Amino acid sequence: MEELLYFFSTTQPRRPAVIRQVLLNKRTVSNLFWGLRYGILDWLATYPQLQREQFDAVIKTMLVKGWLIEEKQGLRLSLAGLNQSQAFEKKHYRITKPFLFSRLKTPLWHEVLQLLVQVVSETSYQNKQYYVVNSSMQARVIIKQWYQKYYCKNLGQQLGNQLLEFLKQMNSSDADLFMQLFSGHKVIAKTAEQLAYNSTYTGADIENLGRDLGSQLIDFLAKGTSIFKSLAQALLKQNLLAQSTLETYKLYQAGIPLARIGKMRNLKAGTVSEHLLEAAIFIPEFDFKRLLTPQDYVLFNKIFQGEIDNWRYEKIQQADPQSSFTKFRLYQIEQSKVELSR
Amino acid sequence: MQPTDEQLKKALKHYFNFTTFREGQEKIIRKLLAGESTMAILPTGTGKSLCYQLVGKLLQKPVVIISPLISLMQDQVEQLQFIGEKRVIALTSALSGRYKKQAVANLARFDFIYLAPEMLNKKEVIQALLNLDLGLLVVDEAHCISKWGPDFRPDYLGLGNLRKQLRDPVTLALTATATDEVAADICRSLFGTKKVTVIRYSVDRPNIFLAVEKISDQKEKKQRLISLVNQLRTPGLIYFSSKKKADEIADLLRQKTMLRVNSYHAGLSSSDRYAIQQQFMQGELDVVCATSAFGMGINKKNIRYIIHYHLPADLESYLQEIGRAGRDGKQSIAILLYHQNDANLQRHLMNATLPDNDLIQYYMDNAQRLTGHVGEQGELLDYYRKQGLSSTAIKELFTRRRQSKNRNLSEILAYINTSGCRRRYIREYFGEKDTQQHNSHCCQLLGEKLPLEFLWMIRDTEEDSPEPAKNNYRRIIEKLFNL
Repeated sequence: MEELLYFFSTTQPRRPAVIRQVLLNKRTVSNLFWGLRYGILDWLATYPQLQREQFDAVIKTMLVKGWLIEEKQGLRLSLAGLNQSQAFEKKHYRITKPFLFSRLKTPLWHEVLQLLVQVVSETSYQNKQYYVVNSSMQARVIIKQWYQKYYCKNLGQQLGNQLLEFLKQMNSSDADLFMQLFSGHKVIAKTAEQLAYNSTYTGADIENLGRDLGSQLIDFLAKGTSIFKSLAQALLKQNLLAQSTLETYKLYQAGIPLARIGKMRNLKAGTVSEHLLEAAIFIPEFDFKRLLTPQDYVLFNKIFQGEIDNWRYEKIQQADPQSSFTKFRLYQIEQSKVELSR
Repeated sequence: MQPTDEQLKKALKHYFNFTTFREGQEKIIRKLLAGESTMAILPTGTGKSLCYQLVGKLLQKPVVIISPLISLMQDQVEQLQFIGEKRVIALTSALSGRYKKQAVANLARFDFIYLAPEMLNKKEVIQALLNLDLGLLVVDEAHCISKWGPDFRPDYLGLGNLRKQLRDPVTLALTATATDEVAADICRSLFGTKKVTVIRYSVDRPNIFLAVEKISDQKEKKQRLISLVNQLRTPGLIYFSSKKKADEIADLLRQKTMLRVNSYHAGLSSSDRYAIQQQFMQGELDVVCATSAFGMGINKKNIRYIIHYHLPADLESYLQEIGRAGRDGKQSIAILLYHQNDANLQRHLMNATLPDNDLIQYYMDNAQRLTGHVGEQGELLDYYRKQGLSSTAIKELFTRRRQSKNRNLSEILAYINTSGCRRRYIREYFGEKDTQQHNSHCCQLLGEKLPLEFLWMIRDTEEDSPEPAKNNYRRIIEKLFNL
């Protein structure tokens, strides 16, 4: 788990709990906001199996080794930690498109991909007697429906071509490892640990490689024009927002006042605000000006300068006791986005 | 319904592509077709499941199979799907809510319905079962019903009532190993006072040579295992009581032998378990280091040896596990490696699974607060509490259970230490009259050396697997899709 070093900074102290929650895709507004501040929101949902005990133990070891330094606002990466992180990166596989992970339906996409390769492979040999790879009922239903709609004689040729097309853009030894993770006709997958015996990578690296290339493959198929397009699209979330947040945001976009949204959706005012903060973090074109008045901007500009991490809500309360925490956080989010776009 | 011999054989060929029945199968099938409930005790690997699968096919009515293990059910479902049976489902906690609801609502559409016992606590499941024109009820691994059996499952106790609710359907109770005491207990629980036919075939598997090696220290045990694995014909299966040890020894064997070795246990992801199981089935692995999670439903014919690195919990499980060797009828061997501390490990595992008096009292005093928060032991206690048992009654029950487990452990230790014929010991334990004389193909008597050469169990190293070919992604894609 030395890759956890990637998520720390030599200049900005960071709270490990935020990092853990982001990797796990635990979405509270506070986690998401600090994830935005740390610049790690692309890594949402990249480690959905992360165990707290294991995470805490790794952080503890890193502190003992002096790779991380404890400060008031969190942990900072030391020079030794930075060297270690760079040395680690040279030897290990690093996920290249982390932002795809939070867009995929997990663990469904993995099961469907495994099933797709197996079913098409067995079809290519006209074989109907085989042990189906472990998969949920949902994954099997998806594949069955897709198969009934798109079955054609050269299914194998088509999937083979798509895979070749996709993998030729990749490092060829990574592609070799990736394809060994699939079972099909008279071909049995190797486990990541087994592949690691003859590789410079560890089992964990190969698992990351499998997830990284797998999610990119789905993205590739979803953007393409092949018969696998609709299947791949069904594995992608339509929106990055949680369902309930999305409903609130749609009403907000339609111009409905917040109090009315609360009533319509039977939500407390605090929950509506949280939904909007989450939307503000994820939606690039979020309209901040509808919630922050020109007077708010004047006040915030006057009070808050410099490092956004250090802004405190108490300051605004002293100047204007009526100003809400939501407005303060919205302003912080907007300024963070401005900072990131520079 | 009573088909002729020819009709029965034709059906066997048509559905399963076999030309002859194995010992016991035809007798059981005929009893069931005649509408007689039956308890069948057949050794592992003799095709117990075929009995009810063929009856279901012939009756053209749904068969409900109660089975204690999700993995076992999934294996059975996969095997039925493998022979082209599509109307098959396993209703277990592994199925997501939406699909479970759909499946229960459409239960009549399935021909083979596998049910986890806990599903029978759900009213809607019982209602759906009542609406079925049930052909046969099967209780798989029926020894789980018996309070005396090694795998007692409290949910199984309700099966007698279920039978009554379902208006006494024809029932098949299946198990691989049961002493007379256990068999009587199963019949009492399931059928009450009604007399049912008990069909028992010998637990004895003459082609599996039985051996025990006593080892004086744990380091020597590893060395001995390496030496055995280096000599023995493959494929082989090594059983462990702990996942960690299975991983550790698999690593060690990979380093110290030229063989392809992997571990298998419940701690692996489901796709890794699938891969390892298939690799072993297809001969891509020589040795699997496994916990008891591996094997139920494994239908590999040519396993040449089963080694137990740790002590099995009882003779029943031991027989189940070694029964996976030699299903092709060829010479095979079962070796139990024993170090005196192993009995303590087994006692420790026993204590970890059975709640003691203090825990029982604490749970009963705080049951409302604790329900659903104390894991397996809590579930067990909760079950008895809901049955209306008092703390004293529950304590007595677990004391008896602990005593029974201790007895089982003593039995396996007595098997290890017997100075007589090991095969005779096992047959007598399971209540079989022994008329066969000990011979050199039978077992290794206490203190004797292992006659591996005599048994032709030494591996020809020329059989060793070649280096795997380098795998290029283009070649894999061509192979996968027949390009």
